[in-house]
Amino acid sequence: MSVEDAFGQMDLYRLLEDSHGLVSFELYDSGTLRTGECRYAFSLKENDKLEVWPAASSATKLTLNRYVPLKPHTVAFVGLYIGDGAKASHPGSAGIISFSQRESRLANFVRSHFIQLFGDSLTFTHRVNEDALFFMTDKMRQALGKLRDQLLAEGRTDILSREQLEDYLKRDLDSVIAEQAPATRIALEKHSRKAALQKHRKYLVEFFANRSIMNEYLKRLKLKELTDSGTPLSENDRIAVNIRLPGVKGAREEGKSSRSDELDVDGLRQFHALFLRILSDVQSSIEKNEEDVKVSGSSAPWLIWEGKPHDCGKFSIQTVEYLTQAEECGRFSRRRLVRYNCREEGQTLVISIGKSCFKVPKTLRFTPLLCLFFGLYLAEGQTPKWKIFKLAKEPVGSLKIGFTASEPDSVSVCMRGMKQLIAGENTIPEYWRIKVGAKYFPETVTIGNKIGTVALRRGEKGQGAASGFEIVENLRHWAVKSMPVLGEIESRFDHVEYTGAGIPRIDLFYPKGPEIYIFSLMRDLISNPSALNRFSVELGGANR
Amino acid sequence: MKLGELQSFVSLRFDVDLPSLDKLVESHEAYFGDISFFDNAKRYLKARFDFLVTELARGRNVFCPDLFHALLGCLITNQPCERTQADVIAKHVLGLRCQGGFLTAPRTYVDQFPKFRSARTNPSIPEVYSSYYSYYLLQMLNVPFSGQDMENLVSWMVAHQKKSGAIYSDVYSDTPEPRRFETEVACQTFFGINVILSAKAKLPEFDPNDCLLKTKEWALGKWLSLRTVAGRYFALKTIQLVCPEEVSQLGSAEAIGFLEDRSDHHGEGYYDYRLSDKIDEFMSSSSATELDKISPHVFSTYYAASIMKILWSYGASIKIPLDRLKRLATKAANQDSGFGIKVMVKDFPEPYGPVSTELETLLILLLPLLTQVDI
Repeated sequence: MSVEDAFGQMDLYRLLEDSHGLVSFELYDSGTLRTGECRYAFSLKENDKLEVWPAASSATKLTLNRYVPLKPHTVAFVGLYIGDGAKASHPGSAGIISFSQRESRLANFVRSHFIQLFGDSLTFTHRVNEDALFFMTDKMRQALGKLRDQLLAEGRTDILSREQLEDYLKRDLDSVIAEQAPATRIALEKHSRKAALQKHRKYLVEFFANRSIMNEYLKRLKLKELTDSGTPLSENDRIAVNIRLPGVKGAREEGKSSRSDELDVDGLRQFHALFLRILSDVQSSIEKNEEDVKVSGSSAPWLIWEGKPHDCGKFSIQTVEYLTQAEECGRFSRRRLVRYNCREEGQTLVISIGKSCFKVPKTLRFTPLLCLFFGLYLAEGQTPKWKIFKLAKEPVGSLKIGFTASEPDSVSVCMRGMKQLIAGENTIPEYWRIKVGAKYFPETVTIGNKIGTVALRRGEKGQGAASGFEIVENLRHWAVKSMPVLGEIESRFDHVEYTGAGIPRIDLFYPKGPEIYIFSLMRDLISNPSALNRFSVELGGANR
Repeated sequence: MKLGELQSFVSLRFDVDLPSLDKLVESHEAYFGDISFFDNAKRYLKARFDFLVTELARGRNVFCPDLFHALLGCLITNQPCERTQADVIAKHVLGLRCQGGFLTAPRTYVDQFPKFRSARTNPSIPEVYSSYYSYYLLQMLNVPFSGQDMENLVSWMVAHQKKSGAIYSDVYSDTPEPRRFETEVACQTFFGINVILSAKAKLPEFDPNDCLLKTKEWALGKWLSLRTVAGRYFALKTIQLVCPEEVSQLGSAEAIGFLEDRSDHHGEGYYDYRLSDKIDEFMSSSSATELDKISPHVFSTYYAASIMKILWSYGASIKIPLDRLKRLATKAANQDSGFGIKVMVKDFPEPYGPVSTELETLLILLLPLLTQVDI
């Protein structure tokens, strides 16, 4: 058995045929119901190939495989895109397909799955967004200076020499702005009243003088990151850098980064509805534990699991062997890999590391539910993703299992996924909280007004734990009603936190201990499946 | 609380002259065409009151604002509180006494939240609003409140007046005033001034003049900058209490325009705020609100009508749009007999917080009285 073994299959021809080419989707995401549809024309070719194009225009044709196997990493890909992918669509226009993730290993994993799904004719843009303030320190100016010398030596003519730069920096801001592109002038006008832009206006001349070299700096950095992650830039890829005006978004202090990276899939806009339909049906069938999905009115399913998605799956591992022998299942500390200690106790294993102790099942089956959880966690988990990939190789500091979501399905998948991974007490969160971003403070204050009480903030910025308990209680009830699975852990509710941004959402925090075990499994599924195959074991029916 | 005291309290808080029960029923019939809203509100408030007291008797926590509004509704609709119920409430409220004020919730309740267990972060400390509700709950139940108790309460209240003149506790909620929610500051200041003026009537030697003067400066200085209907309402009522002579100087045209900007375009009541008032606090830029939902609410509609009534009573030429209020009341009627409109956040299917509430049901009960003036 291998982690490459499929536990289900999609029949894209059946989907298109049974829906008469009109593919619609409904996906609940970030408190918004995303809906959309597109009519496709299609024809079945030899070798189960399927040619698909938007009915309105045959300019973009894709050749797909009629049958798409649902393997553990395919489901993880679905989870990753549901968590970190663009899903918005507007009536009358197709949405973009873009994956937002700075960790190159994850971006490359997603990229490879787009190619598997839609063919290798796709092209990709690796987009890097950064704030100009990131470069406004002596250290970064030195780095840019070094790059300037290098580029000039290479014969680049679009870069100012050191002397030209000195002269440029002496110019008055108005004359510099006057020669910028109209879009830049409009942006400056639009943001002119922002306090942060006013504060950092002094950097504008330097920003315009160095914009191309800042671009080049980030381009080279991204290129290096992609190469280091094992997937250098191919001829189908390009890198695009966007440096934001200082003080417009994100970073508010010199040297601070608010970098965001996106992977745009070019040429797929017309297939947005098809792609999102695949995502939503895979996710909802797993969450609802349904063995198949049919198009409404059809008798044959277009998506089939080989059993109930909470339990099915051919691939299982011997947990004790994985924990004690897997090359990277451990944590790098004091120049060595620290591993778990294991001992058997009935049908479970008792695992300990340091002061932490928890139980796991003796064998772990890779179910669709578990793989979806892995994908969602790699997108929505609170652990910095680089730590997950580096934890066995270098010290990564503190680690904890925390999961953020505003969608009932995601919270449910997380809680049920953790129950498959862990046995005993640690299967449920230690505590959970509700976070409310500033944009939704008016609605929160309204709750107070409706019951005749007040919303109390905390700290210098007015963020932190809310203490108006009348409102807190009402928000707890809202959360449990919105995400019924929270009813199982209602007593573990901790607090409501006012924060800077984001819709009202849930944070789940799990007890310490299993993080190395769980993060190692995720990492190996994504980037090193052979490490899992070594510990494969044949299982019959149930997981435990 | 004697009838006269109850009438005076209701007039001070809700801007209506409380008549006999028969007259209240008549006002409903005249305003809504029948008394179904009266009957529903009466039933809902009684059911809520009984439920809340039962919860308390079972040892569960109940919040004083809910108890207060349910009890007040019962008293207004002549549904007396039983002695045993009064005892349960009194025991609970007296148990909240702390440092002269009253806690927002018992320590045992707060202790269930790990975040607040440590002494440093434990917010079981008195707040202005909880002290206001607790004090008036005791008054409504005729629970003895000695001169010393009153002195302690008012000392605590005055000690929490800030240099700005606003009244709130910053012991746990330590956010500087500019970043506090404007409704919170306006509401707590109004509640604080109520208690201080109540003490003035009961403690002959207590001189609140300095305190009132500071609050006057705060309220007059804040008036134009307040962007929510609730914020304006509590500020206006504070001005009415501490410097009534200033009400006519506030600029009724501006206030009318302010309310007009917050009127629902379907002709159903008033919003508390406009979507365009949503800003990114830290970048001071407007938020993208195209996916946000906004509704008129009972509280904001009642408060808007109150603002109009107060300004009218000081000589402004204002007409309360009775049909607008009536349509809102009809829209707010719920199957549980209570009143209130859902708060919805984006496409979350569940309402964000409660729908029917004790306060909003009480406001519907009083709404015909609020509009019972020839303006």
